[in-house]
Amino acid sequence: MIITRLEYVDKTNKNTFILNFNDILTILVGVSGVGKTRVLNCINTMKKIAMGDLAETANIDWSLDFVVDGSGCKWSGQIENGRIVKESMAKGEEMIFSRDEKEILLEGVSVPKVSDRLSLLAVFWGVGDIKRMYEEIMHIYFININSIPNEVYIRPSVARDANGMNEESLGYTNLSIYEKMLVAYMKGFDVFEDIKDDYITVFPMVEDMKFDYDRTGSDYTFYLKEKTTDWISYEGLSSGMKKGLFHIAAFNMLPEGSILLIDEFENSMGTRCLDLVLDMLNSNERNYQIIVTSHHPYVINNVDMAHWQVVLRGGSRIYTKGKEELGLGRSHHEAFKQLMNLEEYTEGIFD
Amino acid sequence: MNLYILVEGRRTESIVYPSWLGHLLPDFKRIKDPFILKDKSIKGNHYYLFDGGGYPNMLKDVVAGAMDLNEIGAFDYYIICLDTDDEDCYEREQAVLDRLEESGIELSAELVVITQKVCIESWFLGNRELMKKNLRGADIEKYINFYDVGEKDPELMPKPIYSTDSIAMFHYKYLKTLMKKNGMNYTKGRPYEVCSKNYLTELILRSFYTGHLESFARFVDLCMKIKERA
Repeated sequence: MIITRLEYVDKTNKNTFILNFNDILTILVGVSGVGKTRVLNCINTMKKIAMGDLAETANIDWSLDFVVDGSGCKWSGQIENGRIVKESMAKGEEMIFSRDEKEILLEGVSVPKVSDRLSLLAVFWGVGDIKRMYEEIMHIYFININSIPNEVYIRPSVARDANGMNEESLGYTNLSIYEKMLVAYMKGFDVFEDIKDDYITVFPMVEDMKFDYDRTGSDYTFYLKEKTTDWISYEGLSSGMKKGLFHIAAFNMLPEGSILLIDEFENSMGTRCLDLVLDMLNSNERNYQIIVTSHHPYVINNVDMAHWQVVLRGGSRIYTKGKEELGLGRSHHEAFKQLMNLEEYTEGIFD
Repeated sequence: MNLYILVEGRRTESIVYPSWLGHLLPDFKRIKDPFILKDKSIKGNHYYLFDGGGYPNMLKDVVAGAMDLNEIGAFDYYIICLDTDDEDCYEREQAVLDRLEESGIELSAELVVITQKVCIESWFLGNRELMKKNLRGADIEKYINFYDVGEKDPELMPKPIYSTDSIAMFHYKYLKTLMKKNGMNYTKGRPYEVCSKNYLTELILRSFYTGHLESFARFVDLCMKIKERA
């Protein structure tokens, strides 16, 4: 699934977001406070709505344009006080479902009313084309500072219950990143070795990694060994090492074709780790759609301008502009310098 | 006539120069995209200003700016403004010229290097109005006792032996303290107090009547020359 455009109106806070995204990789740049993280939150809210996770006070209008299996789709709706008053899903010219206060139509046929606290995606998730759309929206993953656990303790039953899994199906489970890593380690999947190799590239003092029982002997935790030390448990790792591990694991283990939302991924990362993650962003072997926010000149200079979207705010309207609209790319100045000299970047927030 | 101006920048120059150009060259319009001047039907006087993000980082931009300027083919002047810090004007200017020479680029515009000796804050120290008040307090007296910028040329002010700051930082701190004593707030990111026509006029008068602020005078003379030619 590729998200191409999102219009999102937060009626409670009176903010309107009009956002365009590049197909494989979008790097959202802009002055501090302009709303880059909120853009990621808006996209993540789409997943919450699809799951039926509505806050009681939600007052939102949305219209999400996306492409699934080559077909352009539009999912839109209105929520008032946590209740969905309008919703529709179109695939090309064909209306998949629609609802308003009077009726619900599914593929043109009227169906009984359902809870207005649930999106029709959540209700009809197993039906026809909706199944595919639902699955794709479920593969939106928001990675930020809160995603990275301070500790890792996994029940042994996770590994026991993974009997039927193969390397491909593991990615599509609802297990957490570290639970997937545990299963991969226990089953000797290649992906664990891939993660280890990537990690050692970034942290060359590391020699090995494994999962083993924790001090209490009841749960599994992660360990790594440096060349000059004994095994160190996950809790003893620095924030940079934890962050690097999480990102490397995520890039290797999330389902192919997922949408990754990463907020300021350069924080707490040294240049080696940044280089590796940038390589992963640019090579994108698992066909993710990646939407990241960044302030870092090193990151911005190493991502092609074609992938930039500058986030701007005019009053209550937050919107994006790409390379062409901003006239970028013609100058011989370094990419980040061109960005720094754009009024849209340095000012960013207009009355 | 069109000017391509590369400033050492980061913050101060990007704010101050457009303000001052508004007073000195009011007929010149700032453009945000120099490539629009590829359209030869666009007439009038314009300037484009690029922030080089500090020295020596900006030396890369000296070459990139020259390449852009040549490609656009519509600029009359390439003006490069940078601090001298602890070098003299000649050395800093030569660093720019050497970089251009290494690149092998032949400029299609007239090159002028404006060296801000010691830094742009040294120029701002030249406003004698700041010294007129009865300035009291150990903080400002320390500076005035060391070097009275009301009487002596700020551009020639050294730094005290006991100071661990760079000479540019010393000038900056002197200015900040002096401004504060005059009820003004100065930071590199918010230098708005020095942007006014009055402030600029005071610096011009200082330069004219005393011969101080020689590098600042070069900037003003350049603007007058451009004004005559435009």
